[in-house]
Amino acid sequence: MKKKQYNAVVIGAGASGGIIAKELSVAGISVALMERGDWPIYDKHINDELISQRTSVLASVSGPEWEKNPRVYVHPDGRRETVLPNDGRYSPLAACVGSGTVTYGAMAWRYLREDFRLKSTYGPVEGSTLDDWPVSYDELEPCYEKAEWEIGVSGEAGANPFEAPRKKGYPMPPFEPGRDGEVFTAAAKRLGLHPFPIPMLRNSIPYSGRPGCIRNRTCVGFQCPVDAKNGSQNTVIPVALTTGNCDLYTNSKVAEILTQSSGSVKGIRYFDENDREQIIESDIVVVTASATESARLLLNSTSNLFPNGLANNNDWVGRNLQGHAYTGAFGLFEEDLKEFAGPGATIGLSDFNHHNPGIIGGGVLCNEFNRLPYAFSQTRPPGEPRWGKSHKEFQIKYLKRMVGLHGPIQEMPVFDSRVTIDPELRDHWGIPVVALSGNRHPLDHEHCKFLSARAEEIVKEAGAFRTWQTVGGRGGPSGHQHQCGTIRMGNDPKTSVVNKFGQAHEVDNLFVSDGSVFVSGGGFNPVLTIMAVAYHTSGYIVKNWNGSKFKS
Amino acid sequence: MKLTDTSRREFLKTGILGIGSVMMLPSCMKNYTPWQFFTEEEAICMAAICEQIIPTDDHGPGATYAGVIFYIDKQLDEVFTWDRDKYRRGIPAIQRCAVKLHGSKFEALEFSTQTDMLESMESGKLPAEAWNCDINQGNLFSTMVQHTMQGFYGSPRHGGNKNYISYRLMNLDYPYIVGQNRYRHLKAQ
Repeated sequence: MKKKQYNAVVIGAGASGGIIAKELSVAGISVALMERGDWPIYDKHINDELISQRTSVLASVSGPEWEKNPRVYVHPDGRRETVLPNDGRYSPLAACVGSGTVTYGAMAWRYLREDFRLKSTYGPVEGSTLDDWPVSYDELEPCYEKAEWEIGVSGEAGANPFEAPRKKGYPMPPFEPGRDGEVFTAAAKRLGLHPFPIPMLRNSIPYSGRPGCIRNRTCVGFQCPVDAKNGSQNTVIPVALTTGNCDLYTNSKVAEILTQSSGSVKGIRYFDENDREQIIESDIVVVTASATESARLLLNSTSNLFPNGLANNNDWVGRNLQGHAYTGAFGLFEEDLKEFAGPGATIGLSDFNHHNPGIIGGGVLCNEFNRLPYAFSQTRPPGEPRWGKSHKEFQIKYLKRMVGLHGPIQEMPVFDSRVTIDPELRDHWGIPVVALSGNRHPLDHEHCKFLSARAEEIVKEAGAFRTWQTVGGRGGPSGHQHQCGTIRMGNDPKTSVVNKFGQAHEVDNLFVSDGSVFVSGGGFNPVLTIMAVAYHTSGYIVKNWNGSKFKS
Repeated sequence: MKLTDTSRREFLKTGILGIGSVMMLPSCMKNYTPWQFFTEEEAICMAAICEQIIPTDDHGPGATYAGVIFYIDKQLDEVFTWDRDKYRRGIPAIQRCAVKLHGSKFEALEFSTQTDMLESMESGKLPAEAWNCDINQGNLFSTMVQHTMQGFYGSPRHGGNKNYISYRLMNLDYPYIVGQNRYRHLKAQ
């Protein structure tokens, strides 16, 4: 029998929500873990590209359900268009227990020291709210280590000479490079660069009671058939449930955070699996629902003290929406380089993350995840036909011979690139939905040009007989799977929403911990940093808990 | 496998019509049609367009063999509700242009004439007075290309890619075997 009162409500059972639920419940703090989706079930989608989370042509295997969850995309000219989760402009994230960690590519990067100190390193940037993080790499280092060992990362410590100091190695050895990884590694070394095996939240050997990876072709975008991919759904959430202190509410849509007249939060209002409205009371609320949905929840939670949304009296909630423009280069080769052994991405190089001439930040470059047949049919060099005899020939000839290096660029945060609440549109439950608006910073595209040019040099050196660049970073707003920045952490309550522990400046029993609190997105896939921040936040909550509330 | 233009066209027509007529044999199912969304006429035209997008060639069979038309038909009925109107009004527009330019329906044209027509359509250059509807030519053709690729390269469970034909052409193992481990066993550090 589930209760109606808990010490903590954690909203969103993804990368960070699972960790926080586990850390709190192990410490004896009772937790209601809310998830809008259901448990992921492998048999529902198996190895079907057209419904994979990466392609989403016919459905999204991990949700959200398309028709029930619309959003609004605001064009630069102000035109408002309703978009569903099968549209890239929606910035969809999986809706299931574990969320994106069920189907992700699982790269496990620690951000570099500079990533937390961008303004100090490069100075202020015009048209951008670029700033330093209130927390440093060295403060987060133990949290990174905990994420690597509790969730499980395969990698080679010390292989990346640009990585900040670490106290402990990885729990599992790295994955083998594959044929394209070998070719790119050799080429990069000839150019004086420093390639290394990508750290992965995936078992290279049996670990933590689950088997090693079977190199499944359908890996990124899919749930693992042998459970060798490590997410919150098969690591920390089962631990949380085992304590007896944590109840998981699946198919439960949180509509609003409830506040007392004093301004502190007292619980949530949500819709259960039968769409019935319910209330849960709690001593604290931790929002871990992603940069778009966390911001939506705060903005939808209005009261006398917070007419513009919870903890939003300075109008910073929902702003600075960032993500990652992907950029790089492809090449065609005379031999088969893609083995289609999962996951596909094997080697990376961090030479261009920082201290590049004339640009701010940069990005990591990696070889690609397996590009499955339909996705490959949509990828062609400039000028190649999109259909007909030669299109088919290209598909057959180059499926295993077209490889490339790509990476996420460090984006410049923009104040007006943002999540707002649409004044009219409601979702299936009658909850006002997210509207996405704004533009990327013009520098993003310039930075992408730089990184793509470096990628093309390596692809050429690797022996491609034809190369071309794919340059990202135009248009807007950003967001997508690496969405972040909308509920910024900072020391100054005027220019941030939460402090460095994720605690709201204006509401001391409200916490936010996910990509939203990021000051900047880094030049890496963000999930390990989301996990580290979750350990950092939950450590603070546990340390300052006195049995019913915070020590005063 | 080599097919002349004529035999390819015949193959296509008899293939599509054949399925229709065999299915109609039982007298208790007089109104039976294999199509969920398309009419018989639309399906024959669309199947010819699919075969243009992924043709049968020296490498092996194309969209007709793979049953791409069944994929598109099924998904227009079940998923792509937002594309129904484009197909419903666009296919007659293609037929009007075929009759106007070449004097017969699209599926009856020479293979190379069909190719020329679709190239015009792709760049929005089919004659406006024959097209005579507000569907964007290039946009409709892009949608048809995408749907054909999905039906040919996607999983057979959605109606196309019969016998994993595209996987065989690309030399990918099929049906996909889960559980194999071709790699050396890594030792713990």
